[in-house]
Amino acid sequence: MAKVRRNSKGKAPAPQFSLGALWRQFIAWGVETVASSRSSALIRIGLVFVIWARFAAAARPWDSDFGWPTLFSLVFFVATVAMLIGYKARISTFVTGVLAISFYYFFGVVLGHEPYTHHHTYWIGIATLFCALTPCDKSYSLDRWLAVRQARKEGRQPPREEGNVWGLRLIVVQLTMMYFWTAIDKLRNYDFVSGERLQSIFMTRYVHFGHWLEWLWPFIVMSWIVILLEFALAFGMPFRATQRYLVIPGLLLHGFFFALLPVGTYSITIVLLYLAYFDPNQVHRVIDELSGVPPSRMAFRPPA
Amino acid sequence: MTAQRMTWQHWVRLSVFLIFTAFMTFGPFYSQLIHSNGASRILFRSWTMFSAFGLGTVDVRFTHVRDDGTEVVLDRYETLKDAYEKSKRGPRHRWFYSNWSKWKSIPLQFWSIRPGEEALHAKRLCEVLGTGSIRIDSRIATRHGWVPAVKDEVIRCDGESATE
Repeated sequence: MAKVRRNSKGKAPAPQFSLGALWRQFIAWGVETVASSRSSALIRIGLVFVIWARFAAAARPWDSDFGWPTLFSLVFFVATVAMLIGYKARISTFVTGVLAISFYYFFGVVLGHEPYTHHHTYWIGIATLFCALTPCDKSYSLDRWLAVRQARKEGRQPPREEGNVWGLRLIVVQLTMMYFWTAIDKLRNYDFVSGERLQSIFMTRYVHFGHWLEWLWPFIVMSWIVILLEFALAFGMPFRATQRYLVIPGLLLHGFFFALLPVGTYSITIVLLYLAYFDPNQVHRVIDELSGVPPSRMAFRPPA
Repeated sequence: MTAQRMTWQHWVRLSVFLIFTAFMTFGPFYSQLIHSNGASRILFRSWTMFSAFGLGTVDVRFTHVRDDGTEVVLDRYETLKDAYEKSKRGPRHRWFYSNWSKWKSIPLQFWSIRPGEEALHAKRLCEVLGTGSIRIDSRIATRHGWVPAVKDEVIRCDGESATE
């Protein structure tokens, strides 16, 4: 390690931050990081179930007239099954991502099927596309199993479970922007900051609670908690130092959304994608610890 | 974590990463702050949550003005619940019956009031109360918060039928 020059009082000079250094750090974080593939694989597997929960009923091939919708349905189920078991995982994930995002943009925006234009539909599509950019085929997949078997047959070490995780970084950027812009939107609307928005939503959904919903102050408190928490999640979750304090509040926030409001698959998708925030190598070590792998045999040991 | 060397794949990756980042960062800026209507809100994602849910909800206060002039703010759920319970026993309303908590099994249509239905619910209350009159004050949920809808409308409960 280079020696640090100290001044006459024995103090090291303050670190100097420059935009160039920050930019290079951002690029290194975004596109130059090679890390464990396990969190990518877990996201890949989880997304399949979310996709099926949202779209499988609409994509049943026997409901169609054997035209292009039937072909769409068949490709949908073949691609999602391949994505689940991890056969040609990156290709099948990419195909699934294209189909999922087409639900949003083609059926929703172009053909005007409004339920497909909601946030949770967009998230399914964009998260699947980004997952295809991760090394999701290198772990928990048929591809991995075949690669390990091939390596053993050839008498060499099995391939490492690692790859460039820029797809996970894109998911982090999207999560950050979602939290930031939704907090901005809430802050710009008087009806939300005054608590009246949440009050009217609860009056619509829980009308039988009657006069208990007439008190405005709980809704004012809830509104401001949501706004402040979303700003905190936007600026705090991408950084390890603050992440540890925000994970539980973030999960609780989405848990409340899921329990109290008709959010569809939105909350479960975001909770699954929280894996993208965590250091992939740390996720790998946790799984190794759960499996009883001794530290000396871990592929990604903790930094010294 | 190890850094990768600069190859053509790196430059392709970097370009795609920056394009997506710009789209995700500035798309909402455009659709939420600059051009906030139409397809742009969907093409360039705008993160407005529950923008329509709850709008048009009516919050109504019913005040029973008795014949002696005294006024009581009604809890319409309590006032109507007994009538609902009685109606459940009739064959016409058997489909309302549920094994769940009697309070929660009451269908949403029975409790919720849509814009313009305040007088209808007041007449239902009149059928239960029988005498006096019902004063209606209501507000409706809009994007600008609660907006007054009905102010001091009176429904009289004369005898067997209510007249306005």
